[in-house]
Amino acid sequence: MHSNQTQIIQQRQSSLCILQRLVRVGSGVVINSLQKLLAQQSFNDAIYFGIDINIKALDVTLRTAIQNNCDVQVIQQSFCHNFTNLMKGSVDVFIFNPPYVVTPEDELMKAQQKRDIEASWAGGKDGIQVLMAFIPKAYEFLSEKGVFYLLLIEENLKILKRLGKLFDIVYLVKRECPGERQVILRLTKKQK
Amino acid sequence: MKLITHNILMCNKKGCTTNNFPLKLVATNWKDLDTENAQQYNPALLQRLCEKIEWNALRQTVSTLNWGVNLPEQLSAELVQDEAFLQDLHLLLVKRQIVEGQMVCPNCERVYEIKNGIPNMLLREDEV
Ligand SMILES: [Zn+2]
Repeated sequence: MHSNQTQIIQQRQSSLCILQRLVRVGSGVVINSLQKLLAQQSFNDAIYFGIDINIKALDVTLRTAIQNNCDVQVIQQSFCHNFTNLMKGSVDVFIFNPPYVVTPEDELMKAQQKRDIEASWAGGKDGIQVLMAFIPKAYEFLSEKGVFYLLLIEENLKILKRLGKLFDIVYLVKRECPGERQVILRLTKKQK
Repeated sequence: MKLITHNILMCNKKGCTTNNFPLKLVATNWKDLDTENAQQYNPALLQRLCEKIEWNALRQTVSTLNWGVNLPEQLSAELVQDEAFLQDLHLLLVKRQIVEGQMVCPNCERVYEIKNGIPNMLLREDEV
């Protein structure tokens, strides 16, 4: 990711940033990507919340953050279920790394219930079942000028139609990783 | 867990829809991050947070914690320019970490544990 992304975020005067689901299978912790996304000094310009249902993911994130001199507030919760209404329209940066691997639906249910590390990748049909449920939430909590980064694989792109109704979409990064082609989308709310 | 986190969390147990914020905070163990690890003092960020924060919830919660900090009843334009006030907020919202404790719903009394600085807001299957 590029340094001009840092500028965009700074111009938007972010104060609340949320990282949803923290561990990415194969490529480690999402905070590492975020660190590349934001210059070190901009870590002082916002409060970062990291959310995951898996306690191991949260522990790893905390440790990684400390090693990188970052400060991330981790919360063990599902989606944004426990956020107050006050948070609606207040989140300036949302980064979501949904469980995106195409799996049978029952496998997804099991993974979510067990809240195990499988929940970090099992994505159900087209790998987008968890993401589908999350899109309206993200829209609700994002501020008017907020930016929503979405980390996906190409198999998930059926979601674009749904996303396009609510957001303007920019392809930020496409990269080949062993076994999958990753895509990062940058979404902003469609201006009414 | 910081107080800023407490300020955005409510109880979400099935059927619990009113008087479910702010959660009663019990801090059994807390520490202040040293300057190296904490985010730097940033008046502009604190001023932006003042616009978003649920002030009454923060003020009430701080008054129950016996931390020796008293917050004023009302936020004002003069106050958010005041250096001493912003330094207090920096301590409360940025530096201070609750390591162990509980948050209790004022309505249904559901207890949310805080362990190793991580609040657990997950509900059991029969609670959603
Ligand atoms: Zn409750």
